[in-house]
Amino acid sequence: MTNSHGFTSTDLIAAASQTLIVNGYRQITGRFRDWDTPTSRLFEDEYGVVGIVVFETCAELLRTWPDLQASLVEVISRHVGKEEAKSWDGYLVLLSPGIAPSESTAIDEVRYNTTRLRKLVATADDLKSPTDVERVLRPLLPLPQERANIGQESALDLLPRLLAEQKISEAVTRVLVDAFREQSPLLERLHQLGSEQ
Amino acid sequence: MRLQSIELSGFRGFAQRQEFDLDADAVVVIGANGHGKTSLFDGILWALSGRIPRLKNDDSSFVSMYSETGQARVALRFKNGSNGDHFAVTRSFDGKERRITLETSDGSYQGPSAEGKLIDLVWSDAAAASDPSEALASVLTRSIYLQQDLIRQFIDAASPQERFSAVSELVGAGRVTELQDSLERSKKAWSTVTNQRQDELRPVRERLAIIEARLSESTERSSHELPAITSEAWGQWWQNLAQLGLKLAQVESASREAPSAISNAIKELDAQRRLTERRLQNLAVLQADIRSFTERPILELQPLRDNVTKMRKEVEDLKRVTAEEQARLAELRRHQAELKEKSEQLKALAVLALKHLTDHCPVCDQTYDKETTRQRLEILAKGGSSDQQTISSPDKLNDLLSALTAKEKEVSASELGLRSAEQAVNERQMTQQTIIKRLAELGVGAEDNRETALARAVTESETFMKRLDELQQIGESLALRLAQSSAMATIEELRREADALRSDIAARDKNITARNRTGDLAQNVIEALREAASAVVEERLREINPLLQSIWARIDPHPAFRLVSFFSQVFRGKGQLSTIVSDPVEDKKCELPASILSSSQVNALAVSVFLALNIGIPKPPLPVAILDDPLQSLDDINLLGLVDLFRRTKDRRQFLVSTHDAHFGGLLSRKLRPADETGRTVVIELNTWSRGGPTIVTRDVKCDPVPLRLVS
Repeated sequence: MTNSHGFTSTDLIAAASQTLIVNGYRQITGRFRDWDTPTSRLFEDEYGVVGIVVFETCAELLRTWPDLQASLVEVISRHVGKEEAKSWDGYLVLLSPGIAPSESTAIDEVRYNTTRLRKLVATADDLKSPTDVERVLRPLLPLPQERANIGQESALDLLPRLLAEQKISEAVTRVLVDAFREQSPLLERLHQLGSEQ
Repeated sequence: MRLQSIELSGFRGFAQRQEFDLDADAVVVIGANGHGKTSLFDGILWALSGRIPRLKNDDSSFVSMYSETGQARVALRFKNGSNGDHFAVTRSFDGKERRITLETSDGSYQGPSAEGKLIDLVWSDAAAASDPSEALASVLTRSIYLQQDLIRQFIDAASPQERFSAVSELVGAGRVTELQDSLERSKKAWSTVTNQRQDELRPVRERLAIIEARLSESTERSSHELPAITSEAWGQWWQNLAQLGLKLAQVESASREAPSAISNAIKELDAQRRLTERRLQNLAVLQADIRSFTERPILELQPLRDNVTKMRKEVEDLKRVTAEEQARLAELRRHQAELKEKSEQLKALAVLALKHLTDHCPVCDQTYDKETTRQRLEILAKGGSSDQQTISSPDKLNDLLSALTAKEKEVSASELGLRSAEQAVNERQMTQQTIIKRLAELGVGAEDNRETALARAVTESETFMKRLDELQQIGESLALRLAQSSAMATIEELRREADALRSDIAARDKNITARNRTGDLAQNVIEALREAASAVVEERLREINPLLQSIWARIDPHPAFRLVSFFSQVFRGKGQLSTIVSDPVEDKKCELPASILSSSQVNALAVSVFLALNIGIPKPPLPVAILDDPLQSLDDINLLGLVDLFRRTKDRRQFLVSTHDAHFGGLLSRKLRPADETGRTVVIELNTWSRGGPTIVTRDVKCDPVPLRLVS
């Protein structure tokens, strides 16, 4: 079944699995039958345990999520002591490509239900493409490395390029920036540059 | 760079010395309100920047009321992650004096040098700011230390301009603005100096105009050129002067003194000429006087004196005769008076006798001829007397007097004539003496014939006069030619000066043009910088936007407004910044999140913005995030979202967070536990507070001994 945006539940589970694995999660396979199906997966990292389930419809999601939560709590409690910090770090990710206009309130109630596990819920309203899965899973992911894309040079270093767009030569800007940093007389340095040119 | 420890004493809530171990990836501070959580974090801010803007920089509030030393002191230690170096900053304030000490591996610094070195170590970008510590404090409070009281301020209190300004500083655009301000000030000063130079040029131009006018006038005047002065003519003239006896200092015709020398010589000639003129006039007068003297007759005084003597004798004679006559007449008059008296008496007697005439005399009783007696008495009564003498005629006396008068007049006239003659003789003698004296004065020999000598002197003077006239004319001609020569020299000098002025004006014009060009360029740069400051902010925010969205999505506090972004614009030259939340499903946007988000959601948004800026800004002062009790009034779902976010943040930043809620503190401790043995999380519990400060319990949070439980 495809949703109104043209992707299937398989696309969703694949995108979710890929996103978690790329961000350091390990998939648990072959150990828990309920969490090793085409629509449900189990992942773990140093901090927490994440169960992902994809539903064809929102109605199915609303109907079965409590059982799935109980199943995941059971898995966690079987391997993590009650007093251990990790026992607080179970996450249930509930995805559906279906639209849920009539069930939106109920869906929100699931989202805001914080008993036992934190629930991350998304339906077709939130999932307009498989890449939106990453946005849904962000609370579980390390902070992105956007910083790498952010210029490391200071604002003054940016000026030659920015002022060049306004037809100020880079040489002029560099002279001014250098003089400003050295606390030298600005206009004298600019004038000197003009004389040299 | 990582915070290692902080030591507080006398600082705000910590009256007694307390040291905290901060050398961890995450530090969770748990304490009830008023137990010192904020004081602990304020200590970090104060140690770094020397100020706490939230407290309006009221230094007195830094010192604990219960400080035993009366001094607030904070020592903050760092470890530089890249090279393992340590440094420590210690700041103190005793109510009057602020002190700062910086200990680094390079050495120890005090005072301003410590402030400067600290800026270099922590955030060198601030070094270019007008007040580096102020800039550092501003950045710290916007991106490093989220203060409890100011959590929501960025979202719902600050104006778009204030937000833009704050973010400008964070992303370094504050330096761009300061560069712009500095350039504007420099430009203004530059323009002032340029205008001064233009003002200074005006009198130079005026001077050139005056010189050109003088040059034109002088050139026109000197169009009728006279022959040049030859040295022979010049020397001959001076020689002639010398021959005339004029002793004047001769100079060369080409010398600068020549005009004044010839002018003086001509004046001397003129003076000589006037003297000679006066001599000639004197000679002419003397000639006339001599001529007059010569023509004047020589008078003989003795005959006149004899005549006067004779006439005086005659007058004396006449006076004597007249006196005699006068005496005689006087005697005669006396006699006549006696006679007249007798006659009157007789007349009275006669009248009386007639009245009493009888035939005989009553006295003697004699008889008499009565008729005859009567007749006789009647005659007597009528005044008749036979004895009466008639006075001889006075005509004689009158004649005598007339003659005397006439004679006296004659004597007087003669005496007058004599005096006149005597005076004339005297005058002649004086004139003669004067002439002799004047001849002597004029140098005319008196021994010769005066007229001849005088005529010779006149001739000589006239000749001298002519010579003086000639030399004066020649001198004036020479002076004229000299003046012309001088005028030509002046023209040449004026030309040289005009050329120099033109050259000077050209150089100054060139300099002013170059200065104006520099000023115009600076103005263009200033305009461009206005745009650039906004562009820098926009560019930085564009870079940070995905991070902000990523962080906001982790909390996911609102079911509809799931997207958030910064929006910046320049409005009326002022940068404005808003945080926009949007509903991607319904395509709705809101620039005033506080108007649609709950208080809890606004808090979550504020923390998201803070963390986005903390992680997103380039070159942050410290790779540290400090949040003072940020989790207030949060729903469970938002709270869990934030705590998960904090856990991920500590992987990127040394993370310090405080809470007043012990249960939440427990959750934070568990959530922020180290992933493995290499990490470290510290929990600081600030328990009961007394005047000396809180009691402190510090403990490490252990990592899971087996982090992965399900993975086989």
